[in-house]
Amino acid sequence: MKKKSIRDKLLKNFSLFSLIPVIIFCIVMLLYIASNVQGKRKDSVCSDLEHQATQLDKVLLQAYQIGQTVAEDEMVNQELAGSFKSERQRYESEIRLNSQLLGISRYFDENIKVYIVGENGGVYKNSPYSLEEKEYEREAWYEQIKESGEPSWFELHSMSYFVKTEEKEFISLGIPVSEEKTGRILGCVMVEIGVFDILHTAETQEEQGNLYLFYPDTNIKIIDGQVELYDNDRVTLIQKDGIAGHEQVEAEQPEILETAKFLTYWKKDFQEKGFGQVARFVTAYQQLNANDWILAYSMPKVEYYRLLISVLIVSVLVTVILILIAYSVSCRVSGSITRPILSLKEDVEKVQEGNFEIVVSCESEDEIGELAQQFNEMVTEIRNLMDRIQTEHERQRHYELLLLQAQINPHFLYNTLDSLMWLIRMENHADAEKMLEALTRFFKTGLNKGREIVSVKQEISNVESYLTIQLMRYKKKLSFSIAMDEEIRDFKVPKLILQPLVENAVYHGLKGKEQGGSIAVDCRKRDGVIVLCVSDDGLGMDEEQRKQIQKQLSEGIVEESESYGLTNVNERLKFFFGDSCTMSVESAQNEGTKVWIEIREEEVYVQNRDS
Amino acid sequence: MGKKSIWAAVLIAVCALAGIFLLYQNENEPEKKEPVQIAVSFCDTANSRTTAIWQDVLDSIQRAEMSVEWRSADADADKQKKDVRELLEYSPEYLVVMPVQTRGLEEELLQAEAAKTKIILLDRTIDNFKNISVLAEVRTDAVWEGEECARLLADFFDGREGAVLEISGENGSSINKMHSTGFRNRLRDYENLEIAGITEGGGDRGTARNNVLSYFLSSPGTVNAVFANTDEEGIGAIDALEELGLRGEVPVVSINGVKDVKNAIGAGGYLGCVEAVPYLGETLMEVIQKDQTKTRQDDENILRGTVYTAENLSQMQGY
Repeated sequence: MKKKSIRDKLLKNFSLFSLIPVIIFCIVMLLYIASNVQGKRKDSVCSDLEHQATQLDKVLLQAYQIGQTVAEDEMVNQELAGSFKSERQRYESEIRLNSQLLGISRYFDENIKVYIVGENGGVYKNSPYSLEEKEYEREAWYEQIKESGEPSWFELHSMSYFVKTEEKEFISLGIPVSEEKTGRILGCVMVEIGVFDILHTAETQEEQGNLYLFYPDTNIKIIDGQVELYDNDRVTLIQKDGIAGHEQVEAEQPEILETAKFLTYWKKDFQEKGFGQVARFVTAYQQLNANDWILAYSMPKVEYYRLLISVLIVSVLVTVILILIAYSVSCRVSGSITRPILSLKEDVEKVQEGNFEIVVSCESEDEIGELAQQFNEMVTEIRNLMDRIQTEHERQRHYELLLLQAQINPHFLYNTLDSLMWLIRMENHADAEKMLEALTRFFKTGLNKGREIVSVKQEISNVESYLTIQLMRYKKKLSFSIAMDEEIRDFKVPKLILQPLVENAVYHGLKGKEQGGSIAVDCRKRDGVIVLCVSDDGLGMDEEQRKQIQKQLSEGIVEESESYGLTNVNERLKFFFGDSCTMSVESAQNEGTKVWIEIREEEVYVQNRDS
Repeated sequence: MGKKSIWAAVLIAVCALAGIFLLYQNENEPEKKEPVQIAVSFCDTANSRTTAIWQDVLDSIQRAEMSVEWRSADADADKQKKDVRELLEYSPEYLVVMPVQTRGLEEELLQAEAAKTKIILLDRTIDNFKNISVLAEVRTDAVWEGEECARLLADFFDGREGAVLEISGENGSSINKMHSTGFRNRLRDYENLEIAGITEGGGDRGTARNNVLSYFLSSPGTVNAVFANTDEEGIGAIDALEELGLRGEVPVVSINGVKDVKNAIGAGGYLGCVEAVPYLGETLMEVIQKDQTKTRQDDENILRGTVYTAENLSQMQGY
């Protein structure tokens, strides 16, 4: 089974804890934005259309009222009822009625223009534009009004029926004027409403949809379940650059016609009043009160949802970016945590392989940084310890060699053997035997079966053998005494710690003193301290020399000098007893020298027990 | 996923975002307009004359097979500034301007000049265009038109005392200033005639009608003639006189020559009108063609119309 790394675990957790909230947040935001944006979009489309329809309705209703008022006006009836015998009479009639129409113009919308066409040839207007020269009473619309005898709405048209103007898009209302008594048609009032400004608002200009006016027949015809658009049901498409009539819509944009068919049946098919979706179109619509026409706004669904789609794309992209950033941050964070751990791991492996020169570099100041620092300290400590052990080992070997050298000191041996030879030559067999016995005992205790540790008693025995030999060589010059508390006889010490001190006393203290002297070895226990003292009454040394030796002893310096024996013993005692052992020298010129070895027994006991 | 692939993904996402941003920027940036040869800023198309000018100019340009973009300012000086700025976005070779007012377009015209667009003033002029290089003016002789109106009244009164109500015309329009100047200059020649009052007409018949009614009702018997700067105001005045029962007693003269005035002259009471020719398109195109062929041309191209009264009414076409 593959091991899972800390990095993978961290990455997994970071990813979970960072990506999940990001994704949830994005989804919630997305849903919120989507519903909000689309809701506002729908409201905007519906309210814009409602505003347009209200404006249109208002102006159409006003036009209707004006038309009715003018058609029923007595003066209008009078002017239309008369006939003109001359052009002048006609002009005069026009001046009179035009003046009246101009007078009432200020009371209605400036986009409403009133024209009156009389059977008598008179044409009246309140418009500032000049009338086109044509026979209005022969126009189709006039015939239609005259024929129906009822007010008629004329679908959206791009040119005025009366004047040439830059304005475009008119809705016209024709109302017949009939003689009250006879019912004879005298003419008609035509109200033209300029609706361009109402139908072409800034909002509709920006949109990609289509505005259209649908003129439904009052009778709905359904054949085989399909809503049929009557011939009378017509549609005008209102485009940015003008209008397209029913025939043009039928030829070029049949889908508008399709939507218009549904509008005929809108109450049933559209669940929501004023808004619905037909085929691939979204349609908002308003029915006008003035003439039951339907003003509808239709746009492709793609266009309707364009903003939402844009928001969705941007949101998805933002989400993806956030996820990538979160993942990247997770990678970086987990990497920053695991990188020092992995580095530490690699370094531990190297240390495991025996490389203690490794130093872990970790710049972080956290726990891992501390761990790395502690690891470095640990490695340093191990390295130092190993160095110390190696040094101690080498030193031990060196001491052993020295010890061996001491044990087989050729001068000592030569001198001893030379003394033996002379004793034998002089047939002093007793002394020879005694010296030989002392020599044998000296080597025996010195070698001690290869063991490094001896009891105080054994060490004393060794010293005694040595001094016995030296005494036999320097009879007249040397005397010695050895004292030992029985209490410490079995106390363990490194071997040959007293012999070098005694040897020093012989060669540096007494040998040069003409009258000779004595050596005392005193081993006692005082106040829990084992005190081993080697003293002589020889030449001694000056204070400066003593201080130098004492300094070497205190600082543990081992030098190949006259004091080598002392420092050697001091070093071995330190190695064996540690700080529980001290060595000191007392000396005075021509008075002698005392060397003290003090060992605190309790600490030695604890140390020995632990070891 | 390696570091490289993460950064690559981030880079792609950032590029996509930048793409969307640029797309959004492009959508919001104004659409680069297709250059046109001629841009025309009309002052308005609110009456027969301005409509006739509008139509004649556009027809003439169409006949010359030149591309055109136009705007109508609806007699709004501020809208005209906006119109001109919009038109300049089409980088036209010629900017034809029919100024609503004599002042206020300086900045836009300087902008046009800076864009090396040649400026032609149509029907109207502007004050202080010393610093603006204008290729040519195409207009009618408005001062003469005012003078002829004074002459018509002088002939009518024939030495009798005449007190004239002047309807001042469209406020700020150069053409009305010139009409007024011509009328007043010429009126000084006739001691029997004087300007008894001035009222605003606003260039439309409704305003003129109401103001004339008010003037006659508030100062009865103080005037016995009306001089209207435009036919629209003249028609408003004749309607007011009809209301007051003074049509025929108080003669009305005006400038332009629209069909309604022809009818009014025919009906009586309307003394006459001085035609201000609206068919400026042909002259405008001549100016442009001369400029294109580097032919020497006059700075001012001034047209004069006909003075119509009941006597020569049959000759009047009207527009």
